[in-house]
Amino acid sequence: MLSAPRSRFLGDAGFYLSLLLLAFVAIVLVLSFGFPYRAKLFPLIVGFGTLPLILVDLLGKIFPSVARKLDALRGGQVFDTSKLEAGGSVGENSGPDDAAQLDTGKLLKVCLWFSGCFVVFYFFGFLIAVVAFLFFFLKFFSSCRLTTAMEVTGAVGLAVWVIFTIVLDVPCFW
Amino acid sequence: MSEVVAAILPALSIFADGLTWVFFLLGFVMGLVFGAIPGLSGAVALALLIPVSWGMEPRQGMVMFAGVMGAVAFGGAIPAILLNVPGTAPNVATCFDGYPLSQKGKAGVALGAAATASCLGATFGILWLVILIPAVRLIIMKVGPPETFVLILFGLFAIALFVRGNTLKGVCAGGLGLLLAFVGFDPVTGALRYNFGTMYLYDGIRPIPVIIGVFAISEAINLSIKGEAVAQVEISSKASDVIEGVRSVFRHRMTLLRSSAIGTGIGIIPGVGGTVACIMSWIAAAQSSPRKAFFGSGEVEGVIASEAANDAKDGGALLPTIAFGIPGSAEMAVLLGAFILHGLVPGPDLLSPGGLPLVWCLILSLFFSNILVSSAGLLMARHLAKLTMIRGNVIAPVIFCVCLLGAYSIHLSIYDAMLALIFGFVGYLMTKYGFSRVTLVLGLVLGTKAERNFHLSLMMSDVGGWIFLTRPIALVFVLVLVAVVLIPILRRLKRGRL
Repeated sequence: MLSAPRSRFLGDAGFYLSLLLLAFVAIVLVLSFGFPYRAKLFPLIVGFGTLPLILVDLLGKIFPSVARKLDALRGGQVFDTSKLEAGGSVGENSGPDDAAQLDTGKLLKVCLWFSGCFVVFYFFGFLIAVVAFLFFFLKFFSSCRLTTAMEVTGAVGLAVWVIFTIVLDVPCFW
Repeated sequence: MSEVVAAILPALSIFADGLTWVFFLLGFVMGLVFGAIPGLSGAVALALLIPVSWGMEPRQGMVMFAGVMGAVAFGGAIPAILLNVPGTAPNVATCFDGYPLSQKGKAGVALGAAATASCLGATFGILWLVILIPAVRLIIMKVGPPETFVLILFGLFAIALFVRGNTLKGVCAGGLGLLLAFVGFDPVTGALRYNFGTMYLYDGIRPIPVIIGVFAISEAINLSIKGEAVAQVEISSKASDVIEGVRSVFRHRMTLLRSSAIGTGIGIIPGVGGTVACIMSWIAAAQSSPRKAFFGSGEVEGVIASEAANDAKDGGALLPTIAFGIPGSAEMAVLLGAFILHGLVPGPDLLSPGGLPLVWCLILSLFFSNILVSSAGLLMARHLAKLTMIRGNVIAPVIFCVCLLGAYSIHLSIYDAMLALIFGFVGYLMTKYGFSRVTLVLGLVLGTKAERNFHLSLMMSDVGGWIFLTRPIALVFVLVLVAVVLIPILRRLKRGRL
């Protein structure tokens, strides 16, 4: 009886995000105790205010019945957002309904591409990073035609060079 | 009256010089470009132009600076509407309804409304600036640390409660934002907190890279993954769409006036900032609209509210800058630097008959700049709207590169770029799991200020924490906050649904 709901929340990436946030707040609280009174007062007030809220959110993920009661706290009670959600709007706070659509594989790919650009920037400066990243991303990730990839890379590379290097005098290498 | 005329005429005479227009256009173009590129705010453009203004006549310098200030706000609205990437932090609220309108193929309507609301909002702010200059001292003196603290708290709670979605997660995100703001040196005791031995965190977590990350880079990730164009339907690039946007501003006159008043009012309070002004006016518009259920899904009234407040706040922020030398925003702080460079002293000197022509130069240029940027916006809107037809995974790498460079170029720190990247992924996950990015950012931006004002209030108090209830303005905000929290709950109790 217990295995079905447990596996449901264990497979939910949102559960791990809330767990991560809980850990962050807990660490902040533990570290706060070591500071002078005035330095720890406000962080402790905020931390002890935030911790139970994240715990309630986590409980809602583990026990669906709690989550249903938590629906009373949704913004929909202030605005009737039911129509918006039905329409599949993607505005601010589009809500946990989107969680089901999280494409982990694609997210990981994008994460690697973007992080790769940052690594090239770190070692070779931003001009090489921007030109290389744009060309390869457009050609291989976005499957653009070679001419389109070259045109976009050339135009953006030129704009970046003019704005950041010529006008702002931003050093290419950090 | 004769004093005003005597000040306006010399101010106008500067515009007879062709060189003044060259400087004005330079400032205008810089403002538009820097507003449209995330991370490169108006403050950066102004800072860049300060050395350029050296050697100019002070009035010509002020014309150039006003050109920047007028153009930045609408410049930032363009990517906010078309790509869900706010060019400057206050444009965040424009994304809420502007981007869904673009998705529906109505980018022209949104841009038309934004351009018109910007122009009229700025005019409103400038008018109030002119009217309030004599009375400004009284207003500023009434707002002390307790009022500022309660106002910040009110802003955070109100936004968490009213922004669409899960209120619990909205408040959580606000708390997390505040906790992030505590990293670095404590403003009161000077104690070093939560830096984990990292030199970079000595100065705390800088808000701009975080804003770039959670709003712009997260959107680049979203566009890369989805791959499709922003506009989910065939867009209409007819001039009639833009005209429809212009007309909608006049249909929602009350929203325009209310938002302009909120923008001007919050602009006057030093340090609260345009982001709070825009979000507050968006909330006010949503709460008072009969179509409040549609806010956040492409309601043109939301765009009007945000953009009117964004431009009106400049008039308000100029007041304390000119009258006391207290900058109302980051841009005004840089402008204050320009005043000092040109040997100008804000306060009675600047408001004396000798200094007033310069103040009028600034005011008139700000007005002209807003007219020009809005006219240009209306003319370009049809063509700009076509940007929403470009595939998401083609435009996303461009957004990402510009954002990464924007974050890096502010302090020339590679770690700022890394912070923006990390918060890009955090922002994406927050959106997917219903945590409000707005409250996170507001908590981070206002956290240090809230803590400092909290301690200052306690230090000046004889009655401890009760000080927040013994000062009239603070008490009003506390009561409004309590009402805002309780009314929805009471409403549900009445319906018997809780």
